[in-house]
Amino acid sequence: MPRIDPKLAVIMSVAIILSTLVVLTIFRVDQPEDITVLRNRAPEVFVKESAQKGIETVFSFGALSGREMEEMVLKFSILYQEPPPYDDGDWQPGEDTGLEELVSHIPIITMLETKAMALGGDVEVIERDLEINGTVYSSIFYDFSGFLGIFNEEEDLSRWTTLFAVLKSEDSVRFFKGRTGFFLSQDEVVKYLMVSYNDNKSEYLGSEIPDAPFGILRYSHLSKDDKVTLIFEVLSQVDQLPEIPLGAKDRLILQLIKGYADGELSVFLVNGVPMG
Amino acid sequence: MRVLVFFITSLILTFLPTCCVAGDFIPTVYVYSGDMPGFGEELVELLDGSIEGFEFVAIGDPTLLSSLMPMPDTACIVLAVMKGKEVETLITPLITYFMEGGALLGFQGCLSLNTVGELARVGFPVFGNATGPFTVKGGVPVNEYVRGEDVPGFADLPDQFDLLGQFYAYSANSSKDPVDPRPATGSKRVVYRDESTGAPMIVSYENDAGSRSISLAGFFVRPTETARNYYGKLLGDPLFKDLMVDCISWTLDGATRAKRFATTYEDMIADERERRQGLIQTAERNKSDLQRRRMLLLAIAWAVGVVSMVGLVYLGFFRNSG
Repeated sequence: MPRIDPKLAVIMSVAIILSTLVVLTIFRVDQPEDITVLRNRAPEVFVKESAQKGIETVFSFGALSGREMEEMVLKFSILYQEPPPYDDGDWQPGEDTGLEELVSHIPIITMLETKAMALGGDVEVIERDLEINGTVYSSIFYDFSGFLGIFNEEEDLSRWTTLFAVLKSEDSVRFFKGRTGFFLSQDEVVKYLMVSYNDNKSEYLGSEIPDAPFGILRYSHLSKDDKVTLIFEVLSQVDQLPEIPLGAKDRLILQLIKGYADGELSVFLVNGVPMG
Repeated sequence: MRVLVFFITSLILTFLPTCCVAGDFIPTVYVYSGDMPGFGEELVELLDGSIEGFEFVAIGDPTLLSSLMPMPDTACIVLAVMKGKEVETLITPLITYFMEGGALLGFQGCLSLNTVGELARVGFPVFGNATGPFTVKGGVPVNEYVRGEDVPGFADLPDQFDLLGQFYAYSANSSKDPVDPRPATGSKRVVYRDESTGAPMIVSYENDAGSRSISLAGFFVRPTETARNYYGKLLGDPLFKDLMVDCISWTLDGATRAKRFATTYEDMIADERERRQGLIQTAERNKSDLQRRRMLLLAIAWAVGVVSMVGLVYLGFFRNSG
């Protein structure tokens, strides 16, 4: 049996330990995200009376807690597109008009922001670049639901317009308004909803839908790797979706999903669904 | 001295969250008119300052009205609308607002079961399904009002008067005669009736939770200055102003959400802010504890590694030579 030189063995052992230490130091395993999104699916197109047309309108979402948490909140909202309500009918934004300047010409947002601030409240303003159906937009979201949620139940909150968004790509501008909830007129439109938290699963079907949460899922005292899954199906009738004016093309519905880990925004997802 | 500094610091820390949210809580009456913004604006001009401590604001955008309903200082909403179409996107928001302690005043556009359905049923129980005729007096179309039930808050008004209006909404049976159906819950009272038909013209309603509404069945006006029922003529009648002030004041005397929040809103905002701050601080503490534990483990791994290397080098190179 060949004899190994002990000095060589020592050098090799030292090399192994050294390289292990270097690797441990440089490539430390990163801490996972506070909330990891496992699944995020929205329909490719949304049409009225989709069931009759054989178009599937199922939304699904899954998330995992990345650490122990006191509280995780997942907030779902739906926003629909309307023409931008500028204060001056003749004013049009140019290619270089910034989002803040643009918003300053939309009185509904500025008025509500002023009102909330005057009452001593906070308005959640989020500016992000988004890609929707291949187009990159700079966007700004104004969410008053956090402030108004202090005074109103979640179900009530889902009946009032509390969110606004402006998306801009070159000189084209899209304006959205919306509400919290899994969908507009949730209790009439959502036909099936399943929420699970680890092994605890709650299903709501048909007449049980009014008992379901209204777009806001709250969990307390989470362990690492706790899992939340949500699936719901929407079957809308003609009068339950916003009107698309004749000649208006290329309208979108936005599904906004926000996840808060211990009070801090950790997930911000926007699914743009074309309205057919 | 130390005790004094401690006392002042404690005082500041105790009241700081409340000071941070101290805002302007001005109970506001919103006057909404979708198709006749001029009517809403002039109504606000007429009423502003007439009820102490309340601000009047005209709104023409239904979305803005929907967003203002959940605000804590929204005291009352006057729906100065002639057609149901003006409130068709607001039916659910208005019902929710009313059920949660809102105060409402509705003109003719809010009273028809055909056009606003649930809103008419829940908030304005006139159950309108027909329109009645008006009388022309001195070339002016008017409705003739005569006092109905005794409702406190309207005593300063005459028992009988005429006010401009064209048509009135009422609940009719199959022979078109006025009937006065009662809502399933709450208390409905007819403050004024039409003199000739007895149809309810001004109806007060208080639901079981104490929310109040007034239905104004008779004031059908138009925006055209040359029209016989131009709204400017109605606004120019001092009796109309008195009636409006009484109606709004009566709804504000109910169990309104604005009243409830006037004394609590600052604490509610401060509590939520504190709760959130607490969560963030705990999370940051936990994260830094975790980071510290990871660093400690890394340091232990390093120490074990270095000691092992020294040991191996000693064993391999120096032990035998010694």
